[in-house]
Amino acid sequence: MVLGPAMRLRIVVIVGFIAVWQALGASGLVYPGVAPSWLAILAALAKLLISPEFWIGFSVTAFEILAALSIGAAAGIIIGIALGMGGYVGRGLERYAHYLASTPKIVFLPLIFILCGIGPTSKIALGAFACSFPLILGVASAMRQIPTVYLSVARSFDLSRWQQARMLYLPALFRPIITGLRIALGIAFSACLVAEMKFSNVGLGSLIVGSYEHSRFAEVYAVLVVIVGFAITASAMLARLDRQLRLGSAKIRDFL
Amino acid sequence: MGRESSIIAGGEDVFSRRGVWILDPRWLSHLSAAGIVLALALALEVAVRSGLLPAPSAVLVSILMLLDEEQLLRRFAMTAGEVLAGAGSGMIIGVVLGWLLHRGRLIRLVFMGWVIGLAAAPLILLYPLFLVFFGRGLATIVAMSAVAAVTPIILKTCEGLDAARQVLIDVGRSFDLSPARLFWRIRVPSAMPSILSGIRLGLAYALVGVIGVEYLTNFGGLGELIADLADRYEMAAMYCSILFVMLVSASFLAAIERLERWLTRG
Repeated sequence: MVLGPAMRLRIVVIVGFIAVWQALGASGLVYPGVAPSWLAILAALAKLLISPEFWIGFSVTAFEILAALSIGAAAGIIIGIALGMGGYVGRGLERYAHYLASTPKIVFLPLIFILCGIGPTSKIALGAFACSFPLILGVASAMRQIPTVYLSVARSFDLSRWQQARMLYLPALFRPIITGLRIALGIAFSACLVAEMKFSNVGLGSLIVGSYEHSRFAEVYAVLVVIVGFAITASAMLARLDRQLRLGSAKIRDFL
Repeated sequence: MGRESSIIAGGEDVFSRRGVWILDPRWLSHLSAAGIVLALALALEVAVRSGLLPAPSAVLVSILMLLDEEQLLRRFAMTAGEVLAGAGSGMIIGVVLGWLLHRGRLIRLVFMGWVIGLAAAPLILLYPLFLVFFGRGLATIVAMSAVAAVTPIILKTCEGLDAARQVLIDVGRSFDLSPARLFWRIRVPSAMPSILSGIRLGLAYALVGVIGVEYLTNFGGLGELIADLADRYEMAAMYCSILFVMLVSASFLAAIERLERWLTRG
C-alpha cells in the first residue's frame, strides 16, 4: 500500500507530537505527572472503558445532552416562529435575543442551581437555555426571508393555517432548522459538561474534575480524549446529514 | 398578525417612510419590545414583594455595593484585558495559520480537517489541562481565550484569501504585478471582510471563554465575582453582577459589529 504525501505528513506530525510529549514529560520541565507518557494514557483509557462508573457517567451525560437539545430545540423553533411572525414586537425582541445569544450563558448557572437544584435537571436547564438561541435566531430570520409574494399567493388561494404551515413555512424553515440543530448540539454539549464540572457528583464532567483533584492526570486525558472524540464525531455526522439534506432539497427543487 | 408580518417582509420602504417619529415603525418596534421587558420586570417586582426573589430595585441598588466593596470596575478592566490579550494573540496566530492553510496545498490537505474538528470540539472542557500547565492564574485564562478565539479566525482568513475573485487576480496579472504585490494589493483587501468577521467571532468567543473559565476556576474578574457572590448567597448582588455581565457582553458585541461595519464600508 502506498501512502499519499498528505497521509505521510499526517503520520509524521502525529509521531512528532507524541515524541515531543514524551520528551516534555521526561525532561522535568513541567510538574511531574502533568505530561504522562502516552502508554499511561492508553492504559488509563482502557481501564476507563471497562469501568462501570464510566458507563454510568457516560449515559447520564448523554441523556442530559439529548434532553437539553430536544427541549432547547423545540422551544427555540417555537420562539423563533413567534418572533418571525410577531411584527414590530417580534423585531424588537429579536434584537434582545441577538445580544443575549452572545452573552456567556454560564453566568446563569448559579441562578439555575437555585431554581433546579444541583442534579441533572440543572444541567439540562442550562443546556436547553443555551442551545435554543441558534434556533431562535435562525428560524426567526428564515421566517422574515419568506418572499411576500408567497404569502399573498397563499392568501389568495385561501389556504388554511395548516396548509400554510405545510406548504409555505415548513419548506422554508427546514434548512435553517437543520443548521441550527448542528450548532445547538455543540452548545448543549459544552453547556452540560461545563455545568457538571462546576457542581455534580455524576457524569463525565465530574469524572474529569475528580481525576484532576486527585492529580490522576492520565485519567483526565483519557476522559478528555473520549469527550472530544465523541463531540467531533457527532458534529461531523450532523454536518454530513446537513450536506446530504441540502443536496437532497436542491434535487427536489430542480425536479419541481 | 399575519398582515403585520407581511408588511414587514414587504421591504424597507415601510421603514424609511417619514412621519411623526413616535409612530415611525422603527420606534414602535423599539418601544413595544422595551415595553414587554418592562412589563416583565414589573411582574417580577410584584412576584418579589410576595417574597420569592430579591426585588429588581434591590438588585439595581446593589450596584453601589459592587462598585464600592467588590471593585466592580477593576474586575471589569481585568476581564476586558484578558479578553483583549487572548483574542489578540489568537488573532495573530489565527491569521498566520489561515494564511499557511491558504498557501500550502499539502498543509491544507493535512490540517484542514483537524482545524474544522477543533472548531467543533468543546474546547472549554480542556481548562483543567491549562490549569495544570499554566497554573491557576492569568496565563491560563488568556491561553484558554486565545484557543477559543483562534479557530474561527483561521477558518475565516483562509476562506477569505481563497475567495478572491479570479477576474481581479487576472487584472493584477495583466498589470504584471509581482506575486507579493498581487497578494497585498488584491488578495488581502478582498479577503478583509471575511477576516474581520472571523475576528469578530473570535472576540465574542474569547469573551465567553474568559468569563466561563473565570467562573469555573474562581479566579480573575467578572466570572469570579458571580461565583463568589453565589457561594456567599448574596442574591441581589449576584443578580446585579449577572445583569452587568449581560450588559457588558451585549455592548461589546454591538461595538465590534459597528466597528466591523465601519471598517468594511467604502
